[in-house]
Amino acid sequence: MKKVAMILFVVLFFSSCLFARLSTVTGKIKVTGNEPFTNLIIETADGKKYIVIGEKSVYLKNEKQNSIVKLKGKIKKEPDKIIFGSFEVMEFQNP
Amino acid sequence: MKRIYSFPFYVISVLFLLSCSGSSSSGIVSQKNEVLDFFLRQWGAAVVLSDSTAAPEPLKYNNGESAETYTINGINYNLGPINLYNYKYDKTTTVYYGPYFYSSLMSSSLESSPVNNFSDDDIALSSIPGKKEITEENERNMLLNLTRRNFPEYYYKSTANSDLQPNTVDTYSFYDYNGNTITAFFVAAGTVSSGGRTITVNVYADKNWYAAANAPESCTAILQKFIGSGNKDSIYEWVSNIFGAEWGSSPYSEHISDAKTISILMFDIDGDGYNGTNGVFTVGYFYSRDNFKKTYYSFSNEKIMFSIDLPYMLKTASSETWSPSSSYPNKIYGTLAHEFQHMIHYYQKSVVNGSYSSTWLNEMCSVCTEDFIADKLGIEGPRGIMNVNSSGSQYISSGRLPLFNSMNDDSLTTWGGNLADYSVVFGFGSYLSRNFGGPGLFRKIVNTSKNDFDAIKESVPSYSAITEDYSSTWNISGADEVRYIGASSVTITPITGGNTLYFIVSNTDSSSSKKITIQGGSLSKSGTVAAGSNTYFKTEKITNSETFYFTLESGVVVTAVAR
Repeated sequence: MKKVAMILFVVLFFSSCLFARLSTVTGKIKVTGNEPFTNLIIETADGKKYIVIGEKSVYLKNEKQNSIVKLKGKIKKEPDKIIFGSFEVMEFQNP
Repeated sequence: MKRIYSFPFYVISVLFLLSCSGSSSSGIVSQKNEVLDFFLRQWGAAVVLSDSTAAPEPLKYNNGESAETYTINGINYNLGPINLYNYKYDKTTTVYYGPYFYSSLMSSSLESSPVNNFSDDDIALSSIPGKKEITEENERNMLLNLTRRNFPEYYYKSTANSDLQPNTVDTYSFYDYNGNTITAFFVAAGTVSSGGRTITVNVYADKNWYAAANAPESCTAILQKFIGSGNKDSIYEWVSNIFGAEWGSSPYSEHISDAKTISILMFDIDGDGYNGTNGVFTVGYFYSRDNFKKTYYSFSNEKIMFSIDLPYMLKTASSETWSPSSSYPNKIYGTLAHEFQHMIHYYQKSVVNGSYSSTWLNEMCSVCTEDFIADKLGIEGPRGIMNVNSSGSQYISSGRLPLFNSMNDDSLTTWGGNLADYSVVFGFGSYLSRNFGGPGLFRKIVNTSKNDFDAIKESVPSYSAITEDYSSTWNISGADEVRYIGASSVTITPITGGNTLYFIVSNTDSSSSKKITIQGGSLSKSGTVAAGSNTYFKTEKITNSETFYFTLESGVVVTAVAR
């Protein structure tokens, strides 16, 4: 019993950590940069820009450019003064 | 002939792509500003038309138009008239300016023999100056709250020379965009002064490819094209005169300092030799990674530089002997101008103005740069016509416009990196330049912190009036979803006095005829459109709000034009 409780604790702990790290970003999907060095980005209403990565980014590029979408995933890097941030998309929906 | 386009009338066009049943209701949301895109598409998307009940009329061509000259800081830029050749229908339609084109469009004739006659040379000509699969970070966006700096007043006095003997002993290491090492010789150099700024231009060549036939001549030729002879005759002078300096001080310590030097690296981009990758070449590129210090990007070359595909420049077309002015070198010169705009665009838009550009806007500026200086370079440019004073022959099969013409449902602002995207942005850009101020307009578009259509709206004084007129005088159902409505009907509310509505029906299927029905108001049309052909219907004096309904077979595209 003690063992099961321990396992449950570990599973719940890591699960909560995982979910805690998921973020939501809402903004417009765009392609920026000059060829051949383009990026798919999401630009939020407050001007933050993240490069969108992950498998679903292909669909977003093909179908959602210039649309406003809500992305759920992981912020890999926050934008800094000189470059875009990075966001790994896991789910998306129209807001 | 001066043409300041003032929009004497309003044209609103709506494109419907309808499903087989004609009853698809899944609208694809587009952006409001694509209204202008659509305006342009109407003028640019030159389908060949015929009233299905009338005898075909002969096509009309632009025989009397001459180049339009714009002067910026003492340098003249000529923009010639544009012809469009439609591969689908094997016809050319002349784009005049705005409404004139429209009347030309309406008097064009039916053609039902679609062709697709891309030759190897045409494919090469249309090679993408870049490679879309690469998605590394390039647009190092300078986020907001930067201090805008004043632009210098450009006055252009050029002095150039090329006095360096090639050094084929010492070698220099570069990184390509994949981080591969390129070992190169330092083979040519010169200086050019422009706008009070003197820069040195260094040319490097891959040490192995430099031994290839005509490689030394190629390196000298590209230098000469870039720096000229000191008499306002260089890519550097022409392009920087339009857009501004390519580099200077930066508020970011991550950037390299301004050494007032541009490097051109000639090597085998992609390692695909004379044949390209499946026939497609990366002809050249500018990569802003090189503007950064190695401490920030370890693969940075720490140079303000271009990369040019040397094997491509060494190619020869059939029955042609290579020379610095043969066809492939000429394409390289256009590419060099194209990439130079990217170089300037990065500095002016991102560093100076602390903004960024969507790819369609950035590429539009580059392909229009080719257009602006094609006559100076003595190349065809994206119009596909050598003589700037001519709109060309009936069958123009090169340049960007044929593909634009046959892809009139391709979005302007959705960028996929394919050849059609380049054609579409050129269609739009050539319209802007010929109606709203030529190269000077593009200078404004680049030298602003605004992006996308905001940059155009800010740069074109009458742009907002156009959109306001659109929104206030017309009401098309789903006005914010003008493009790809995907619905089976459209409702038109006319302005006072009534208007005329045209429905242009194109059967894009080259092998079978298609049935269509359009009904609404006094219009009731039902019949068959021949394979690969077009027709149009007109209904006049619309004084009340009316809804028109469509039933179209798959492959049929309808463009509605209200005026």
